[in-house]
Amino acid sequence: MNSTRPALIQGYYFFQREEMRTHWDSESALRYVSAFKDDPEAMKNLRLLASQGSGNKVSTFASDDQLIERVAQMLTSGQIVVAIPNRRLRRPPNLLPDRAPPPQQAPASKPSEPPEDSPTLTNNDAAAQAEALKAAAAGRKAFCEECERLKEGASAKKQANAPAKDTPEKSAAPVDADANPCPADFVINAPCRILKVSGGAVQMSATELPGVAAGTYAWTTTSAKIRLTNANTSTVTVTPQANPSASREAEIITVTRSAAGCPDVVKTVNLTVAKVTFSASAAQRFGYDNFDTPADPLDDHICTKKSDHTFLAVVIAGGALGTDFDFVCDDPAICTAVAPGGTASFDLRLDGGPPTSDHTTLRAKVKCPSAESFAHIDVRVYKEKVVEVVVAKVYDSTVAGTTLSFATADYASHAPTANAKLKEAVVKFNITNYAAANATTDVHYDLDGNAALSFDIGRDGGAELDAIKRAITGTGTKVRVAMIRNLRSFYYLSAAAAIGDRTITVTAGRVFDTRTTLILGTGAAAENVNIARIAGSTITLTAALTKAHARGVSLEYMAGGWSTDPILITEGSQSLLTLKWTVLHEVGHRALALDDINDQTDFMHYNQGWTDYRLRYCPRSKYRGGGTENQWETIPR
Amino acid sequence: MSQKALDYVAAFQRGEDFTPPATGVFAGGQPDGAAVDILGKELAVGSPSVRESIVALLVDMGRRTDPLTPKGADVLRHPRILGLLAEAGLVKPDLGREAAMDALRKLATQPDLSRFENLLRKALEDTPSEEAFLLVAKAKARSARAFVDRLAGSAQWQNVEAAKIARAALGAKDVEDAFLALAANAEAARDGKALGRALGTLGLIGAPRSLRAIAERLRTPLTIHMPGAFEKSLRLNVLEALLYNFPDEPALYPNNIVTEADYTAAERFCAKTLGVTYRNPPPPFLTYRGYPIPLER
Repeated sequence: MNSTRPALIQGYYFFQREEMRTHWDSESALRYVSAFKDDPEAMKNLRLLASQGSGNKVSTFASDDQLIERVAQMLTSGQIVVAIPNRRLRRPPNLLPDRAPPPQQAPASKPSEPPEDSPTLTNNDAAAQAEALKAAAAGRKAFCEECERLKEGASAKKQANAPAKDTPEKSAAPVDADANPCPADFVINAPCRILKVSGGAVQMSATELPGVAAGTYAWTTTSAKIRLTNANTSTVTVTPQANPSASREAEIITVTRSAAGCPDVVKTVNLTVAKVTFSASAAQRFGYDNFDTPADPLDDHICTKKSDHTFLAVVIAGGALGTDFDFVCDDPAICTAVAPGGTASFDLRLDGGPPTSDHTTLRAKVKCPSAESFAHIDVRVYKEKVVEVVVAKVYDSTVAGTTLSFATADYASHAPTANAKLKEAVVKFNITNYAAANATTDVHYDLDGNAALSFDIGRDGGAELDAIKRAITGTGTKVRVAMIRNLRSFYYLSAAAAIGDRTITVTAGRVFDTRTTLILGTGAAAENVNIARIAGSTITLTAALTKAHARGVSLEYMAGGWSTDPILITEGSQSLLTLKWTVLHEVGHRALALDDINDQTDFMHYNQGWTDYRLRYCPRSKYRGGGTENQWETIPR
Repeated sequence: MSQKALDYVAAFQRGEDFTPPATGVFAGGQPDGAAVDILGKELAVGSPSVRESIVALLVDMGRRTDPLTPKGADVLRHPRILGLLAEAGLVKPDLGREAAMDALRKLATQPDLSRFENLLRKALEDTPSEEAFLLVAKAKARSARAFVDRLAGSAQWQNVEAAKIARAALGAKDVEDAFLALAANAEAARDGKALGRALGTLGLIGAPRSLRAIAERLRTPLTIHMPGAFEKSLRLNVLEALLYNFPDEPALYPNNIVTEADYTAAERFCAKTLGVTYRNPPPPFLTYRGYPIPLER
């Protein structure tokens, strides 16, 4: 017991810092004071203490219970403190008394009135206390459970905030959680230790351990990746700057706790400034559109097929890892992400939900209470548009000139190549060759024997096209395409035209404008004409006619095909590859409802000047009529 | 044992997709029973992508061999294949189920679907989806009506068109009225695109009033015009909405329309089946009015 007594020097008691308990909650205070109830002498002293403290007479407290309650209140409020020789708690249990002796003199706030002895803490059940201490000594239980609970709480929070490392705080002295006027430690509350580049500011705070008087704090850092404000208060604001950390936890904040008469306590907090970037994955299974702003990934869009999945490339700079983030869609019914592993660069699997056409936002949320989003991307889920296409290679065995140049061409075999591009918009073409074994189809269509399909523009094709229509049977709901060798397209004069006329009228209700020269008439009576203006079925020519032309004379218009049913495509002088893509482009109009556009890098460029065949989410300007078209969204599902 | 069916399954398991046409899985001009057995077993247990590909293969086998296919119909009536799609195809809410539902909905007739009413209703109850609503609507699964009404009224589904379509298909007159009004308004506004969309929705409903409303517009002069691409007669949209409900009727297929007489054949079907009469003269014949494809590409 002597070892626990305070030093008496010139009439003053000197206590070890850890021997003062200043913080009580009502429950522990009541339990502590109740321990003296059976000791008449102690109760007498407590009555005296209580009456002094409150200015009341002893008799004010009618019962021992009321007295105990009052003293407990005084402890809780801090009006009185207790000197507790804490070291006793850490001695081996066999040195503990059977029962904690009550203080012979109540502790007071003045050092001139110290207690002669100190009670043990919180519990009057010595046997239980002894058992608890034995357990603690055996390593099964904390000596100071309250402190351990605090530590555990901080540790749990720390784990949530910085999952990859659990020791961000480096204490200058071991933590001793008991009451102490000059603490060796303090608590840093850092809600998140992974910060987003140029992201939102984060507040961190320092607080004292229970029972310790408030000190002052100074937060400093040499890092250029973060900026501190209010650095000389207990709560600092940390603002991440524009560049990510060089490595994980590379940004160090030093926190110094100062208090008069106490040595400084210094701790550090390690932070990571991270940047998450989404981009197209080489393993992506459907579309990705960077919105023509490769430097700004935040306006990008990714799409996937409903109930299917795709991949999104994720790169995390700064030392953070995939496991530091939750990758979540705002609406999990539209998409979900498969949790990644602990790497900084990976393909994130994104599962599409069942909606036919819907969208949501995928976010990389840091695993912190703030759940701040470090990156986001718009996710589109579409039902796959499957288009059945049948291609017939048509010739007329009665006219030699109709024999196809690419008679053995396998248009169906182009489907995988096409679909590799079409998948960008969650579209798939099932292309089949009309004839078995990819044969050509013999149709007697060249009724006028001119070695070409004569296309009557005013009749949307006419007899020769109808012959092909009738021949391509059993095609269900497929989009039909007919490949032919040659095509000649005609308007016919609805009235005779004389020499010198600048206008002619044709049988068609409308005339397609063209910059190419047209041929009016046939044989020796033919002449070339060019269109200056069109008004309905009336054509104004660029020059007066040099020959007379009777009613019904043909005006030949140059076309490479017609978007009729079947879609008519002439081989002409095109390469086979160009023809294959032309098939797809025309089916794009028919089945995908896509317009011609001006972007030469797009599948639907009006003249197929492609260098890239992607279908886009980013609106493309239309070739005709102005305006733009979002191709992903335009396609009917 | 069908080696070709085993080969297909192995290819699908390697990640390959089905590419039509199916080959080597036919016997006597019909799907080979042994092949169907193998595919059916794998359909019940396979991975989602394998199941999706098996559905595509089975559907191709069934379509290709249907007696109506040469006549221009696109219909799936093979009893065993239908049974596999409705049973093994719907066992799991995945790509395979989506594919099976899509095929059943678009290619099977209503009477055929009604044989699987309980399975279709259960699929909707187990995992509601737009596709499941539409399939129950197509099947006219009356036993699902209470569930559909309840689910369609929930926050998640109350604004989803497929749920409304299912309600209308199963007898909710007020909901059907709203869709009929959309069509009437589009027609009054002479808006071909809007009318085309409205007719498509009425086709998905497929209830008697909706079907008559579609068929009555078989002589519409309206068109859908995509400048530079094509101008399409809305009469074809009428046919498409009808053939969704009568996929075994070749007269309704747009690819079979070559002359006005072919439209007349479709009108005869509508008159006989739906009781529609046509008094106005038909518009000038049109299916697609094409645009020229550039000569130099």
